[in-house]
Amino acid sequence: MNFSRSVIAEAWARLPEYLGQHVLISICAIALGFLIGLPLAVGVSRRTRLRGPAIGIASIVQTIPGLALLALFYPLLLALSALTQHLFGFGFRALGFLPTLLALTLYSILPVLQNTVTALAGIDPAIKTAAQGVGMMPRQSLFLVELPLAMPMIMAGLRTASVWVIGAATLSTPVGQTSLGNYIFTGLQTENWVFVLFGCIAAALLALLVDRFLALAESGFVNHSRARLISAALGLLLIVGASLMPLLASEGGTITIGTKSFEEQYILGALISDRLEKAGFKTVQRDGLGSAVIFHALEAGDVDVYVDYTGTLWTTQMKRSDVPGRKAVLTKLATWLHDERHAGDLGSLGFENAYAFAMRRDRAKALGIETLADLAAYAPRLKIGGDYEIFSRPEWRAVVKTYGLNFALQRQYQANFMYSAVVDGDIDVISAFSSDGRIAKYDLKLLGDPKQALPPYDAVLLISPKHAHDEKLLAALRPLIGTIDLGTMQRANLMVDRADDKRTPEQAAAWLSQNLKH
Amino acid sequence: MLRGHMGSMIAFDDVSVSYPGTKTPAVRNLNLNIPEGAFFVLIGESGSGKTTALHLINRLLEPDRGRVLIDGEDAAALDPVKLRRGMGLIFQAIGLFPHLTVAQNIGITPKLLGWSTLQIAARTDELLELVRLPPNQFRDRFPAALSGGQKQRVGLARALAARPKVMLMDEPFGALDPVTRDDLSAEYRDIHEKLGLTTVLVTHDMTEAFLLADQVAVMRDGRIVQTGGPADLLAAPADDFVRALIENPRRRARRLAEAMRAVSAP
Repeated sequence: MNFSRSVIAEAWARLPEYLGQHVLISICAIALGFLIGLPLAVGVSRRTRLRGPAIGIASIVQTIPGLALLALFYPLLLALSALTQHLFGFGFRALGFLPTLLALTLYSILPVLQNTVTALAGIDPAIKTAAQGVGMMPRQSLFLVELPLAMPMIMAGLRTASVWVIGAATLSTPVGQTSLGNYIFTGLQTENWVFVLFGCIAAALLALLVDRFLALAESGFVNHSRARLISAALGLLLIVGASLMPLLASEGGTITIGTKSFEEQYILGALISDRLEKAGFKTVQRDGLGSAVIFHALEAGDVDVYVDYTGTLWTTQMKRSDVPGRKAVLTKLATWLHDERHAGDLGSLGFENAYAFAMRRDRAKALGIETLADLAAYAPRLKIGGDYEIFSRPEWRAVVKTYGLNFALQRQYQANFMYSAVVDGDIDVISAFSSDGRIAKYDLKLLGDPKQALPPYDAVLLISPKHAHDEKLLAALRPLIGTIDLGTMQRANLMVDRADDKRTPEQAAAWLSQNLKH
Repeated sequence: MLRGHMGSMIAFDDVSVSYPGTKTPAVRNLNLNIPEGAFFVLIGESGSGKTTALHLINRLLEPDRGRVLIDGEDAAALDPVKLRRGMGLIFQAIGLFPHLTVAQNIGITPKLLGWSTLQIAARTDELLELVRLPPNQFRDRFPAALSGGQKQRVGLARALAARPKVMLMDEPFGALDPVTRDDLSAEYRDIHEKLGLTTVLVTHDMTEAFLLADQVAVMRDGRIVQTGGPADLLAAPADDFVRALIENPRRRARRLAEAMRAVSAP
């Protein structure tokens, strides 16, 4: 199949960057976790009263789901960065490497801590007496006897930590850290199962290899085999070196393109990337970022270019609840971005991807529902499904308030499953995006918004403050403005969404590039 | 008890010590003089305080009251680490470092004292010869590959490595089979003589005490019951407890002699 072959080629092409980033973040987190866990374990072993609390706290950290831990560090660092900016005049990047490093480090502490404490407590008292008896000072006893004897178990802890961290690092994609998780998140979103599988296998193989080499080191300590220790160290160095090489080769003057986690964003990301590469820029893509995260990333310069939608920024960033009309929102947003955030706004790509609500056409007809206003009377008997964001967004509150909606049940779905659910009749109404190709495909009825509770959602091209006046960059992207109409975008989206004759976002972007209106 | 300590290598001056959380002291008002060059055996049942007394000598334990004098100096005023490096310690569990080779185990104290690698290697081989383990065979073995007797020989070599004047031995031969035990204790007695050591040995085995000791101190409930040469104890046991203690090896010796006669009779 043409599709799967090109998908595998595409997956291979991304491997150097994803793997390199994955190894880099993992190795930093494991090393940091080890450097914290080991002295901590030695410390609490000498003060037995602290042993329980220390292991308790580390265990609690372990029970926090990985994704949540990663997500928590982002606002925390953002606030901290704002504080240091205020106090000392410098801030730092709250996205990507740092929150991931901190979260993964916390994860890697427990196994090292627990194993070291257990190993030190389990050392034969006769050996400790002998250490004292031959005239060792406590520090000498620790370094010459106790730690070497604990080494096999410490290595076992390090192995556990490494496997956990390499696995959990795949969850760092949504906070903007590139990793092998990019395959999984992108693949899940575009139903590209080859990508998902590729990411899983790559992460598992990496974890397995590292685990094997650490096991070799462990057995080296047990059997006093210098040869094993050396081959283990060489093996690990080889993995790390080979993974990091491509990273060292690249970098410097690259433009980071951000995308949110749905097909249209991946396609537009690929389109922008193609444009910039042709104009001589190097680009990297940060895929699958959350709505709020991506805008902060742009402000911070972690992301240089991305496509957002006017209504999203209007309600969530500008905190506006009025709806003055499509043109007014576009101009007011551009002014706000320029004046308040010093970011660039090149303007609308030409289509709107609005938040909307949709039903199966036959069901809507049977109930006589044309608009959200008609829905109010039936809502208490209907079930609504939404994506991960809609129910916590101001737009939803506005719709509920304006039309007095009160559904029997509301449920969150991954986009693909949401469409299946409404087509199969499991739910009655779904939140949808007007540019989604699946609306036409499944013949869904978009419900009208007569009271204008929802703002317009023109797709706009945003530039980070750092590059807001980079004329070369702006000139490369400006030709895209006003060239994509809704029908074209829907067809491109459908190419990626559909199950048969499925295309990659890159292929859809290439098609889109041929079909821009001039 | 004697108050003067002239000529004593080790002296206990009215020493008492309790373990934390216990009411009765492990050692009570202990007074002892151990002359330089003596082979001194502390004997008693388990819990009598003999190991506690031994640990007070190299400051693995500190006295609650009283003083321990080493070569006339208050041990409390000496650096405990230096003190321990100048004394050899051997105990039943041996406590060889499992991650180090035989040579590294033996060389540990000299290494801590900063000897050169060459000096340590020479000393290690010399000691392996002394304890009758051929250096070429044993130098690079790990403790896991040694028999019980071989381990205790290495333990002995390790204790002797830095040329200590005092050897502290806590039931050193207790875990060995009888033949090995006899061989090793006889060999150690020779080493003691040859090197001019002062040895303090703790045991509950009266036979061992009689065979090795110049002087014996019998301990019970943290106190000294009787001190003297083996002959003094045999001639005039201080009380029924001491009598019972020495009666045991005597009875065994008699029964053994009878059994031997029965076998050799025509």
